[in-house]
Amino acid sequence: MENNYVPYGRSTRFAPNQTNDDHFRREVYIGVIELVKSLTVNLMR
Amino acid sequence: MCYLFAKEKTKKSAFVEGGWRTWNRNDALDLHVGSVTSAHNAAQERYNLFMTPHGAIDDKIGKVGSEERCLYKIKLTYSLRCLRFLLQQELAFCGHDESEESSNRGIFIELLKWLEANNEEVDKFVLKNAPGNCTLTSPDIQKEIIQCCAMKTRDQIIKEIGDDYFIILADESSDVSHKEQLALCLRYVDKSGRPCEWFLGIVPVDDTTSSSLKEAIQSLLVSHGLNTTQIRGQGYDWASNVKGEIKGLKTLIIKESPSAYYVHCFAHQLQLVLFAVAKDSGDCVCFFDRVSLLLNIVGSSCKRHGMLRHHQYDNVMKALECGILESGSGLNQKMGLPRPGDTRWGSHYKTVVNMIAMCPTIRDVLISLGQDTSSRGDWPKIHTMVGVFESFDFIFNAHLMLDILGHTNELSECLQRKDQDILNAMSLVRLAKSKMQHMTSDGWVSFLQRVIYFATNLAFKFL
Repeated sequence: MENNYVPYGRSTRFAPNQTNDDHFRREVYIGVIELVKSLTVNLMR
Repeated sequence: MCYLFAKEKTKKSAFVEGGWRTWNRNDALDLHVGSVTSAHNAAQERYNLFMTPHGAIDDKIGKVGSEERCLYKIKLTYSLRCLRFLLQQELAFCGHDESEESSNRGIFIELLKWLEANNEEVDKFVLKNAPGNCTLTSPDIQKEIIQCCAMKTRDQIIKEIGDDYFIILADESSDVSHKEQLALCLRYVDKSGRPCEWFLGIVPVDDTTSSSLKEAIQSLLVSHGLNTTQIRGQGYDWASNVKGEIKGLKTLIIKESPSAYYVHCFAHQLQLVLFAVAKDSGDCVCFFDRVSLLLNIVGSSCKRHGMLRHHQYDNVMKALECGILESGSGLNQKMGLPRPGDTRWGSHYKTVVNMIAMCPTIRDVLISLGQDTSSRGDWPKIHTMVGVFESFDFIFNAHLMLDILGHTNELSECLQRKDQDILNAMSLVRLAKSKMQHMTSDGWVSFLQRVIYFATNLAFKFL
């Protein structure tokens, strides 16, 4: 988890320098869920 | 006389328009009368016809006796009955080959033939026993009768609305011949207090700017005697030319009838939320791109579909023997890989669910395809895909999508239902939101464990 994240099949050039934990947990997992959440809140208005 | 009976658009002379001043020229009258086809003579003829009705040759020849009229009516009734049946079943009318020798002359004529064969009364009047110039079965006649039916139906709808208020629902789409068309539905409360929703008609539109859409809607409404000020609500999808605050269609209509509240199509909204997510997050874009590549490889031909089914069957049988899977009705059904569509997010959910459920099978198929010499041309694609498929990125994203789409799927299905219960929908939205909240605050560890467990189970190697 503490190693640097290497995207599969894509160039590392476009990926920011981050650890696996950073990428999977913070960026993808929390990022996507927050996005869905914020847009769902819009739906309630 | 020339003034009264002049046809519009013909060149008018001084007699007809301003008045005649050149009395000094004595050939002027002859000039005006002119040759046989002149405007004056045409007007003269119209005058004669007006003075003596039924004098025209057309009338003399076409004079129909009351008996013939009766026959005509009987034939029309039978044609109409067949047509009504077809219209109610939403069947197509014409066949490929409607000539006499054809064995299948299209549904309409075949139905008429069937009716004729089963009923002697009918047999006397239609098809073979009808006069050749009046069988009332030609496509033109069919279309004319359909038009009449449509008109009657619309009249009925309009009559029910009367002076009351209604809501318009509109959506546009292009048909096979790439013509943009706007379909318009009306929703209103009928006399007994039930809400009704009827389709009013289709208008072809040249472009999809808000002003031309508005014109199209307006012209359709006005042509049926409805007033735009009667509109009390509008429902469209979330396209930018419609929702705009300044020049959107919604605003244009509100300007005319200030109480036309805009209600957005709920199901669409949620779908577009998810769509926005998939487009906003780089990893999601990448994931769905890979999914579509995978579907291209696995689903490209019937042979590969067959392989997939076959492998799946073998795997299920194996699992059943080992006692991993339980058998029972409705369980272990055959699964395919449906292709997702952008505006139908239920389809994405289904794709992801099936993909995860069939993960080992898909992998087996990919690997065996990668060794199959007959598909050597596809090897580079397939080999890359195997790599992608076994990568942690892919598995991780698939599980994340499974969770998110799973949470919203129920909501989405509820929103798509016809009898919309707003309070219930709102509580579902709240529920979905709290689930998301739970996922962010303390769902991570269990989620990661699930993904890793799934992956190690399949003996994928990574990390």
